[in-house]
This record gives sequence, structure tokens and C-alpha cells, in this order.
Amino acid sequence: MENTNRLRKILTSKEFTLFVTLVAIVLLFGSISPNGAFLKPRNIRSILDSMTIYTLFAVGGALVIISGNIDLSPSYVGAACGVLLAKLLNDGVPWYLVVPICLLMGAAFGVLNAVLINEFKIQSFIATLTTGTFIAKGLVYLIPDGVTYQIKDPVVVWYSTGKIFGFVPITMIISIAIIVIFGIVLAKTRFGRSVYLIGGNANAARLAGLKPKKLSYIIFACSGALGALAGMLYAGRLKSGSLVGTVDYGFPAVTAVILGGVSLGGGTGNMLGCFLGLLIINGFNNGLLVMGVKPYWQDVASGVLLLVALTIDYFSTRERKIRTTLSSKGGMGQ
Amino acid sequence: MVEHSLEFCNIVKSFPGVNALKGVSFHAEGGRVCALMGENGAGKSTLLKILSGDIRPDEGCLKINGEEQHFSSPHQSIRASVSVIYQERQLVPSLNVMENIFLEDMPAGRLGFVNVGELRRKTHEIIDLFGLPIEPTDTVGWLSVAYQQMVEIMKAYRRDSNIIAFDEPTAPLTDKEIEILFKLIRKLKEKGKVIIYVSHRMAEIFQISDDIVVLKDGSLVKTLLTENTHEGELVKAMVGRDIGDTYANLKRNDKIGDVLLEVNNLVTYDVKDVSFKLHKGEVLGFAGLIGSGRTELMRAIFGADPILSGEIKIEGRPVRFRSPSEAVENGIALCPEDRKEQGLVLKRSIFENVSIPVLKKVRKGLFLNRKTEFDLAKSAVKRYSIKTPSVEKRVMELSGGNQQKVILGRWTSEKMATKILILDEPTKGIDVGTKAEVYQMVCDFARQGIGVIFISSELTEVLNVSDVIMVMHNGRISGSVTREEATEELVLQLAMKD
Amino acid sequence: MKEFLEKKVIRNNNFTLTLTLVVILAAFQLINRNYLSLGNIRSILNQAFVMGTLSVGIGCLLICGKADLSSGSIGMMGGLIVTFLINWGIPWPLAVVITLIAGAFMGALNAFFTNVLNIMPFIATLGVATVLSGLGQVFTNMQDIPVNNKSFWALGTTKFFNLLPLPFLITIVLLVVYGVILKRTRFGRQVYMTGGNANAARLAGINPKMISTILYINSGMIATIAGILTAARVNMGSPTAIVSYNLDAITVAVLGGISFTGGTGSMSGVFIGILLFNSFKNGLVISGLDSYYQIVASGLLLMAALILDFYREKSRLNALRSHKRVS
Repeated sequence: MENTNRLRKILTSKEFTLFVTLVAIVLLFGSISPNGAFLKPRNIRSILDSMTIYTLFAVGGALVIISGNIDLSPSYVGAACGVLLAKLLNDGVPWYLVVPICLLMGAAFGVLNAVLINEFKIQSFIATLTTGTFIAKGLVYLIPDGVTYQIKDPVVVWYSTGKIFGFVPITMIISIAIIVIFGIVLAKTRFGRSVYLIGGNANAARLAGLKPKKLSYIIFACSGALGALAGMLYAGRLKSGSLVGTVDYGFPAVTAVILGGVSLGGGTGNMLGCFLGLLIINGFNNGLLVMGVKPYWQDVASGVLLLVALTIDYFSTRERKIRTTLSSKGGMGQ
Repeated sequence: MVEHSLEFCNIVKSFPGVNALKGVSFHAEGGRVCALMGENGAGKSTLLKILSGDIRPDEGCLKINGEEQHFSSPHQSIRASVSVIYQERQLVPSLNVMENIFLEDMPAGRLGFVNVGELRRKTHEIIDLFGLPIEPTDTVGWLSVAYQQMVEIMKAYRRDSNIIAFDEPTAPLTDKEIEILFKLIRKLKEKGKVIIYVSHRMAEIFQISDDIVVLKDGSLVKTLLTENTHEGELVKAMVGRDIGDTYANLKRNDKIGDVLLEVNNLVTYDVKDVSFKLHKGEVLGFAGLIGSGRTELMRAIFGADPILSGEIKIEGRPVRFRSPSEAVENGIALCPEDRKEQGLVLKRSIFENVSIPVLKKVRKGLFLNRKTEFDLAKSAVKRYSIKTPSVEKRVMELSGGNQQKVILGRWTSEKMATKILILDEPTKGIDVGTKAEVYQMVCDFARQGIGVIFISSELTEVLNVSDVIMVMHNGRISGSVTREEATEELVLQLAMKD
Repeated sequence: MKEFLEKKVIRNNNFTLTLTLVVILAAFQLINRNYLSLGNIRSILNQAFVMGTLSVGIGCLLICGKADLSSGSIGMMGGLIVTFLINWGIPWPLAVVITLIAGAFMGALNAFFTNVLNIMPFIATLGVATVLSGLGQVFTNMQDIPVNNKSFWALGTTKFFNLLPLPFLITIVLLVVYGVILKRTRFGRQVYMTGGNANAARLAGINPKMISTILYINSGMIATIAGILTAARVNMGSPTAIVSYNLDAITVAVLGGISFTGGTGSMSGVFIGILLFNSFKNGLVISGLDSYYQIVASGLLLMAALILDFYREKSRLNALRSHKRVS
């Protein structure tokens, strides 16, 4: 009895639907791509490779959205940190100082966001959009025009481009470690539960004695630091601090998160779903590439996928909403 | 057995426009259930909010086990071993039962890892103790209202607080669950806990409580031993007041005309098969407890909420409004229960709030005619004695009573042709003097031939102002009485009838 | 004195703004004597018209309580569409009309996602913006497309009194027209009420979804005006034009007194905000500051505007509380 219940629960879960979608995409592109190029191991590896940077943004993004806010700044923070990394290394600062400095800067940005949202009551999307596009982006322009700092520090280059056993990129290990760690923290620790609490019913959280404000500082700091990490890995991989950097990675990451079941309303979602969402989006984009579709369509695909994800989200939560509104009204006062 | 005690010492609390608590003091002993009774607006909810640390009193304090306590946050009250179970559920619908029960105190090991096994085991223990057919891993959002309430109660049990307050806990529960709840309460009594029980249900009060404290209009009027009193005495304490000439002097309407509004077998998500008739020039009162479905009924008639089935006729013509604007065009007006959230645009001015439904009629050509708007607002200010130096003042700066008058002004201005006026708790949070004005206004509307629906949870006023009173309970009409035959006891009984 | 300061300065936005504008103009004129020259003023106004035009549409939406992150992209598409149409031989006035209709359609997309599917406006418009940006890149292969029509160019380059460029004049016209609509017509009043409290507005007989739908369609059309004028001015359709001005337009609207929470603000404030922002930006440029500072300054300005917005609302509530204690 218990087992069939469990099986039913798994089959009707969102994660299963995502898994099915992923399989569908793999089968689709596997069959229509020329010579089955999509399924070749080299291509699979390139999908996973491109996912690493997205993963870091997605983890931070998911954390923030589950807690009931949104963070649009990490991709810009990443770009800024990439440039900072390159510049500092170039100025001779040793890598073991530069890396923590950049991470701290990312965290500091997160704290700035949290201040604007908590103390000045600015809505999270515009607060983070402001800090992101203006401040972080502006910092990119710290470099005088035309100069691109090359990254030559062997340690940085090693972990950004090196592979273990010859074929597992270190960056992939880092990103998988991050998503697993945060996944565990979210699902299994008290801190993680309180994130869901705050996003699910902030008032209940408050009345239960939690401190939503304090938690949001931590959450945004994580999101910023993860963005910084992503930016550093990206810059390391390119071996230079580029002006554009990770700016374009933010939006698809958020799309993956929403696709993966993290509702914008907060309080729901998990890292497994995000991971599947990332696979789906990267797989889809890669499939388009293999088919020879112009790379510019990727942006369009991202936008369309987001709108589709939101539409599905709407329909699937509509039924649930009726239930909970009835619950909160039934018999009790308005 | 350790006995705990709770004492309220001269609690005073005011909100803008109303004195919620005017110096309430009483003592609640451990090992006993102290029932807190009183009409809506008597101050019970405010007292509980102070107990839970949600708000702070203006004066006075709490004493727990003899020690003075001042809670500046809910967190502190939980630490002081106080648990308040509110009417509005404090659950997270996306999490499961065990996560909700152990909300702020999940069993965790090193590094904060939640010990899921222990969590599940302990939750199972509690669920078994309660004898409920739910699993620790069920998602709370999917549970029925009754079970959600039980989860809330189990949360309080888990906290093992020494002082537990229940605010109308049985409203969504069936008899079986109520039995479970009472079993639990008796267990808590045995442990010497202090239990405060707020409820309107007479049967329950006599079943479970040992002491009864009656509040009225923010003051404590009686403390009784349950075994020494009876229903009649309680009701009298709750409602009996010297109403003086307030109602005697009302100039009422005696010319009641034809059927204006007819509702047949209306069913919505919250209303189950309601039928009634409203006549021209009649004041039709709707009495009942909070949550009985009166607001939902009127919102559906007004087009604000969807209708599942049933028929509505205005002057014999069947109508179905899909939006409030359609209702307004047909002459129906609604003054909502929550005037700040649903009635007024607080940051805009008086005249702007008054002219919303008649914008088409205050135009000169393409543009709004300021003078016409001002005149409209000024006449409302005059007619209702709204205290304001100018009609350009923002509505948020007015007192509650004046805000209510602005809404009334909106629906009864010269440019409006309101036929049916629905007033939902129009005197909520308003001082006594202004209330009397509102009562006369209601009668004046009736005299103009308008059909007035008057919803109120204050028994005294709904009985004395209305011509006919419909009583609702749990989404149905449990009875109707005329003003002549109505007594407060009778109406209260109908309102609490199952 | 404190009450005066609070009432007249913090809460009277236009007064503060104009004062700040004067200070900025004076300060930069001291730094660089060419600041207030005809040529430079023309340059400021030429810069200002894009965000100024966008801010009219976005401003109305903000007053209604809805965010819009897509106007920039819609404007960009408008520029592309008009470019393609003209290059296909369609006479430019007709091309302009068709482009405007396209803009209305794109705005309607926003309305669909926010009102029918109930998606939060900021994410819905962000999605639409991304799709449109992507489409723009696809259609042009990331190249700028020249326009083959000399008379069209006049739209962007005509000047009045050698000072006022036509595009900025159109911006002013839009500000005035919408300012009047907002303050003096029934529709405008409904916009304020919906933004102030959509629930209460609905229960008073307004249809909030209809209002916001109209405003989104309207904003789409206004955005394409910006796109058309830009294409005319530089004689090119570009897949990257205008998009970045979206945030500037929001800055200028909030600076000008439009609260992010909706229900307050006016076009007159937005106008001063436009002048302020652009003269500030221009001042930074001609005083020789790095582009880094310019971008950061813009961001700080928006942050300051949002924070000021917070204090404005807070001070209104405080005034309320001191009243309350008396009664």
C-alpha cells in the first residue's frame, strides 16, 4: 500500500514531468540531427560544459525566488567580478587573495540588494535590476577602453580549464558540488526549511519567531557570491576579463529555475527540478545549434521557453490556488 | 504538577478611531479552561494579539507565573511558552504536515541537518495521539480545511507551551474532530497548562470551559464560573447595554414597497443555497458570526465573485453580473467590509474617491469638470458631516468614521441612481456618536425608497436598525425574524445554530 | 520649519526637482562654459528624446501600478520594422502607420500575459523583451540596416529655431497630451484609481484589467514612436537601439514623482525628471568623466529616486500618525 502510494506520488510529481520532457527532447534531436550528432558523446559533454556557469546562477536564483524575492543582478555581478579577477591578477595580487576578494564583492552586492529591499522597501526586481545593470555593469568599465586583461595565473587557469582524469572538467565538479550542497541544505536543514517558510507564508514565519529580514541578507549574499564565482570561472575559462562576461547567462538561468518548478510566488521548488530545467534548456539550445539554427534564435528560444514555463505554472497552480483560498476562507473570518 | 498562571493587568489599546481595550484585567489559572466571550469588536482578538506578541499594549502588561512580561515580537512570546492559535491559518501550504508542525523547531543534528526520521517519528506520535487519518508527509495545502486546522492545533501541542490560546478553533471542524480537540484540551488541563478559549458556540463553552470572562466594548463586564451560569445570563452580559435613545429616536421608513431584489437558490464557493427578498424602502439586516458567508453572498450578487448556480432578479428582471461595473450600472452599490483595502483608494483625495462610479456624469465635453466634482464631494461632506477642511484632502488622513462616510457619499451622490445599497459592517471601528449618525442615514436611505442591505456582526445594531433580519450560519440562512419579534438571544441562537 | 521643509520640499516633488535641475545646470556651467551653449543643449535634447518618449508610456503604466521592461525592445523592433518597410518601397508615412499598429500588437502581447495568464508584469514583460530582442537579432543578423529614404531622415533631424529637435518636440507633445489625459479625463482618473488600489477600484465599478490592457497597447505604440524617430535620426534600423533606455525611462519616471507602488505622479514631474537626468548625464560627459562614472551615476540616480520614493511615502504616513494622536 505504502509503495504504490509512493509510486503514484513520484509519477505525478513535477520532476517526473520534467524528466519526461527531457527524454522527449533528447529523442527528438537525437533523431532529427544530422548523423545523430546530438547524441555523440562529444556533444553531450559540450552540453554539460555549458551548463556549469548556468548552474551557479540557477542555484542562487532558486534560493532567492523560493524565499519570495527575485535577484536579477548575479549575471552582472559575475561580469564585474570576471573583470576584477583579471585586473587584480594582472596587478600582481596572488590568486589566493583575489579569489576571496571577488567572492566577498559578490556577497557585498547581495547585501546591498538586501538593504535596498529590506530597509527601503524597494521591490526586489527593480532593486536588483538597478544594482545589477548600473552598478555592476558600470564597474566593468573600470578598465580603460580597449584593454583586455589576460589571465595567466596558472592556478586560476588550472581550475577554470583543467580536467580531472583527462575528461571531467574541474568547473563541472565545482558546479555539481554547488548544486548538490545547496540542494541538500535546502531540502534537509533547518536553514533550508526556513527559506521555504519565508517564501511560503512570511507572516507565519514571523509569528513562528523566524527573522525573515536576517535570512534574506544571507540568501542574497549567497546569490551574489555564486554570481561572482560564476563570473570568475567564466573569465578563467576565456583566460581574460571580458566586458560582456556572464551578462547573458542570467536570464536563461532564471528560466531554467522557473521551468524547474520554482514558483515566482515563493515557497516551492527544489534543486532537482532546477537541474532538470537546466538540462532541458541547455539541451534544447544545443539541439538548435546542432541543427544549424542561427545562434540568435537562442534568445528567442529563452524568452519563449520562459513564457511557456510561466503559462504551465499558471495552469498547474490555478487548481491548487482554489483549494487554498477555500481553505483560508472556509469558516474563518475575512 | 506545576501550575502556571496568566494575568492580564489593566490592558489598554487603541487604534486610530477606536478604543479596542479600555483597561482589561483578569486572571487565568493553570489546569483550567478560561473561555473568553464577547461580541465581535468586544476586544477578544486584540487581547490575543497582545498575548502572542503580535502587537503591544498602550498601557498595562501581562504577568506569567507572577512575572511581568513585555513581548516585543512573536518570537519572545513563543520563548515565554505561549502559543496562540489564530483564526487565520499560520501554515505554509507548500510544505508538508511534519514540517508545519515543527515549523520553527525541527529536530536537527550537526550542521543543522534536519533529522527527517526523528521528525517523521515524532509527528507520527502526535498524529496517532490525535487519531487522525493523515500522514506526516501529506502536503498541507492539499488537506481539507478541517485537517489544516488540526495541523495548527498539533503544532501548538508540539510546542508544549504552558499558555495556550485558541481563537474559534472549531469553526471548520466536524464533530469527530471537535471531540479530538476537547480530549486534547482535557489532557493539557491535566498538565496544569493555562488554556484560553475564545468561541461563540454556547454548547462548546459549557462543555469545555471552567471559567468564563465576558468582554463588551473593550471592557470586562463579567467573570463567571461555568457551572454557576447559563446561556441566558451569558448572552445578556454580552449584548445587554443601555442603548438609551439611540434607536428609539430613529426616524424610520414605514412605506415598504414591492420586491426590489429577489435571490433564489444562490450557490457560490462559500454560499450554499441562499434565497431571500429585498423590498423597496426596506432595511434588510443580515446577522451572523464572522465567516457565516454574508460578505461572500453580497460580493457574488454584486458581481465581484463568481456564481455557481442560482437566480438573481432585480425588479422582476433576471440578472447576472460578471463584474461590479455591471452591477453599478444596474443601480446596486456595495460598501465593502474592509473599507481600507477594498473601499477606498487611500492615497487619493476625497472628491476623487467620491466620483469614481459617476465619472461619465461629471464631464464637460472630453474633460472632467472639476467644479462639478467638487460640488458633488462638498454636498456629500455636508450631508454626512464629514470632518475635513477640504475635499482635496487625501482619504488616508481621515478617521475611520469619516472614511466610511466618504464611501457612503460615493454611492448616494446626486449623480448616482442607487436602488440597492449594500452596507457590509458599516460601523466597524467607528465611535458611538458617528454610529448613531450612520443608523439615521440608513433609515433615511430607506425613506428615499432605496432597498438597504445592512450586514453587521453587532447584534444590537442590526436588530434595532433593520426591518427584517436574515440570520446566516455557515453559508446558509438559518432563519429570519422581523424587528418586532426579534430578541438578541433569539438571533444569537440562530447565528450559532448548527 | 521642519513641517515646512517636509511639506514643501520632500513632499512637493516638482519643487525639489526644479531646484535640483537649476543647481545642476549652474554647477556644470561653471565647470564648462560650453555647457549651456545652443549646440550642447541641442545635444542634450537629442539624447533625451528616446528615454523621454518611452517614459510617457512606461509612466502611465507605473501610475497604474504595472511594471514594463519591454518598451525598449518594442521600440527597437519598431525601428527595424519601419526600416524594412521603407526599404521594401512602402512610402514612409504609410510605413510609420503600419509600424505603430505593430507596436500596438506587441503591447497587446504584454497585456495578454499579465491580464489573461495573470503572470507578474515584470517577468512577463521581461519575457516579451527577450523574445523581441532575440527576433531583432535574428532578422538583422546583428547588423545595422540602413534606410533608403532621404525624406524620412528629415523626421529625425529637423530642428526648430536651431534648438529644438523634432523628436524632442514630439516627446513634449506626448508628455502634454498624456498629462492632460491623466489629469483631466475619465480614463486618466481611472488609471490613478486602479494604481492606487485595484481592488477598491474594481468594487467601485472600474475594470482594472481593461485599463491596464489599454495602457500596455498604448505603451507599445509610444515605444515604436521612439524607434521610428531613432531610425529616422541615424537613418538606420539597429537591433541594439533603444533597448537599454528602458531602465532610464523608469528612472526618469520615478524621479519625476511617479511612485513605484502606483497611484501618484504626473507627466509634469516626468518632464523635469527627463531634463534633470539628461543634463546630469551630459554634464558628466563634457566634464570629461569616464564612461564608468556615467553608468554608475545613472544607477545611483535611480536608486536615489527609489529611496526618495520610500521616504516620500513614509513621510505621508508619519503626517497621518501625528494627526491621529489628536483625534
